[in-house]
Amino acid sequence: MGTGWLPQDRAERIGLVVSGGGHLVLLIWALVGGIFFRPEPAPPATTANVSLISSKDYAALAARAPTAAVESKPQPSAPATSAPPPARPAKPVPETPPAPEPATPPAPTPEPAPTPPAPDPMVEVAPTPAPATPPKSAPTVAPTPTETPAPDAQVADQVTDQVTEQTTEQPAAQPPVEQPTTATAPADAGQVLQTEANKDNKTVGGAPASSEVPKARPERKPAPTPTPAPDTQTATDTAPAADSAQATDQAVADALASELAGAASDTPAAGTGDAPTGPPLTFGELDAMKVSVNKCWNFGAVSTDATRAEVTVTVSFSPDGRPTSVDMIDSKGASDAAIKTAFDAARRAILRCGAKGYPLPPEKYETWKQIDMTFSNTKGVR
Amino acid sequence: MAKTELSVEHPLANRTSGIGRTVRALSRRMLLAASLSLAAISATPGFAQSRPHITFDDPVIEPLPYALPAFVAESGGAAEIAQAITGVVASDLSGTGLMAQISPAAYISAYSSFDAPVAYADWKAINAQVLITGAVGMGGDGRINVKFRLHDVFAGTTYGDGLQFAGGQGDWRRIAHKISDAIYQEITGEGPYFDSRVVFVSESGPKDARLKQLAIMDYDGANVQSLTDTSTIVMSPRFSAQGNKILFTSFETGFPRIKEMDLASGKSRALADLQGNMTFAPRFSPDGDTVAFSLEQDGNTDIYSMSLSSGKLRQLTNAPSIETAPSFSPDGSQIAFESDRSGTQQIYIMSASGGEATRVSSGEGRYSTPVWSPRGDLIAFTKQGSGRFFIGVMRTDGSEERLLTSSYLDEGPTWSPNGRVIMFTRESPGATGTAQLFSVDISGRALHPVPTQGAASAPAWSPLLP
Repeated sequence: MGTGWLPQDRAERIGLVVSGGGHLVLLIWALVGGIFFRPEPAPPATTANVSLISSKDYAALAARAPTAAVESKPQPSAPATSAPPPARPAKPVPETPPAPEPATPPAPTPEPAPTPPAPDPMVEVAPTPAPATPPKSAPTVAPTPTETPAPDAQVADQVTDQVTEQTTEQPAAQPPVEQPTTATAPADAGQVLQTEANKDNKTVGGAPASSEVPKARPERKPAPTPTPAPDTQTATDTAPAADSAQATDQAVADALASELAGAASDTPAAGTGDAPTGPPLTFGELDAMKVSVNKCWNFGAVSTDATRAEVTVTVSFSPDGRPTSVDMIDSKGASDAAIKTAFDAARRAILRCGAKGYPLPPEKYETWKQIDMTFSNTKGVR
Repeated sequence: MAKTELSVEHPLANRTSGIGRTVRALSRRMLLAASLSLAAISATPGFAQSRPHITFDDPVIEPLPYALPAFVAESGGAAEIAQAITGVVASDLSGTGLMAQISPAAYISAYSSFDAPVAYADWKAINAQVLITGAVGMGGDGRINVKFRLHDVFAGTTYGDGLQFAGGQGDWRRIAHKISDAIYQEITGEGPYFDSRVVFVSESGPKDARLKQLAIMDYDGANVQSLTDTSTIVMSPRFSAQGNKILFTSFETGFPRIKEMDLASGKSRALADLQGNMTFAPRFSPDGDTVAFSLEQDGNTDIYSMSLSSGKLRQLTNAPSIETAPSFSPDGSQIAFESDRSGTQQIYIMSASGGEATRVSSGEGRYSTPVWSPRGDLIAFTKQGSGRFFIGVMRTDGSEERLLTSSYLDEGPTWSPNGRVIMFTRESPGATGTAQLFSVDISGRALHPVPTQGAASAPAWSPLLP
């Protein structure tokens, strides 16, 4: 114990000295090291100026703020060879002799496959691609009237593969020797009539055969009585003016929409004294009327000449929406006999589908007590 | 409170609310201006003063439903004929594919008197767009009197005043066809065709030893009569435009030769009696004075014409290829024919006096037997391709080709008098296969067999009977 707290071993003493020296250097560095390594001053704290405005002003600002334009992807130009026109063999110049008469005719060349439609350039499309609407084909002989379309057109979750309709058109006496044909499609730019030659090409897609009849527009609920808005903590002296301005805007927008709806109804040039005085029909009301009449407009029993006729009629209605008279006011495109046939078909359509009254808004009777209708078969039924 | 003061005093806040007021004011002014402009436009005649207007451009295609209660018998012995006439009218109209009869079982109203008021509501209820009522009376001399009315059900009126026909009891089918023609013409606007006949080759026996004879029948297969016996093979009969004569090809001398038959007398005579040469594929000109046909001479076939009045023969084509199946245009100025001068059968058109021909068929496959429509707007043809046969139509310039049928073997189209329906031969394959007549509307609808007692081929439609 006479040695005190110092270690007696030399090695321990050396370790003690080295440790003590190291600690000493560390203390000195901590005390005076800041002279050589001065830290960067902290950036000054910034503050943002905030303004408070009323909720109505904010809503008005938000409504008027221009929407950021969606940057569209650059559309690549369609390659020159992507959509070749259907190659139609040039009419050959009549050959002159001596063309050797073949002992056996050459083997028939396969019918050309229908030219697929040119692929669209890359565009943003809906996530679920709707199947391509097949050319509307007419039934060979429809045994029953067309059924009422399904209440709502549902888009399938998955794309349905096209299927080929199998029909047995052959009479009983004919053995089933019909094979799927590769007949050339009729060169028809319009509605394609189904024939035996192209019946196997009929495709069934997911799209409905006809559009659904829009439901009648529900009656508007009476507008609630305006109650004075209580002042809020952010009310300013401009609030009443803003409300008034919004009301004016709404009224003007309504008037503008109504005028546009009336103007968009394809108004003919015939101005007469029996002008409608009521509020105009909306797009929806006109479209519902169009669908209602169109489903009865049948060209299944008219001459080929009549399908090219265009007739315009004026239809008068009773207040319950029933047609009371149909008068032809214009026609063109065919012979007198064909125009008479086309007019008869239009008249039958109007009378038949309106037998129980069309879904027209009673409050606008002054507007629709007479409606002009043009029947023009631009889809090209032959 | 302090924040409220800050918002009022802050320059940015002032600028924002200022822009808002400016935009709002500008928007109001623009909307008001637009509204006033539209109001001004609306005040002008021909705009707001006009009625709502709707355009329709997509009709449906389906047969027109009609109601046809049995014609009433107005005298004791007419009941059976009345029933039979009703059946023929229904068969005619429904056979077009353009109209469809509503089942009599669905009728609500009982029809018992021709002059009784019509309860249109009852016919509306079953969706009959057209109602046909008729009656048959029989006089003391045994002649029948048939009258009918055509009603527009939804308009609650009749088309005109109705019609009536009188004739012998044996004429009841023709009377029925004439009633059908009147209805068809009124509803569709097309010309009539039911009151017509068809001459054809009636076939019997096995396929490898088939007997053929000429026969004639109503367009619907009724009233079949033989014109020749089975001792001689006959081919390709053709009606004259007047319907009183028939051209056909006969093998009675061992090789094909054209003959002409007078239907009234039943007598026939050879035409273009060129010894040692085959003549075939004859066709009358529209005026009935000229016959175009094919003549095979020294192994080459060309088209010739011959005047029936003078007997003068004229060569219309001169090519080493096969030219055949000539068919006159309705005005007689042009001839459509088939030729393999390009290496395969195609359809050409040339002047009726011959000369340079223009090829009109341009699709893949082989085209043959062109027949000009009575209306002059279309050419019917037989097409072969991909191992199948087709009956089709095209414009006279070759455009708008449409194939109407497709089968193992379809060939030989002939037009109805109104140019709306095509009849042709369809042959089934195999050793037991037979030929049958079919008809089809040029829209491709109403494809159906024409009933015949046995096998039949090579139909030729007559003009409308007088």
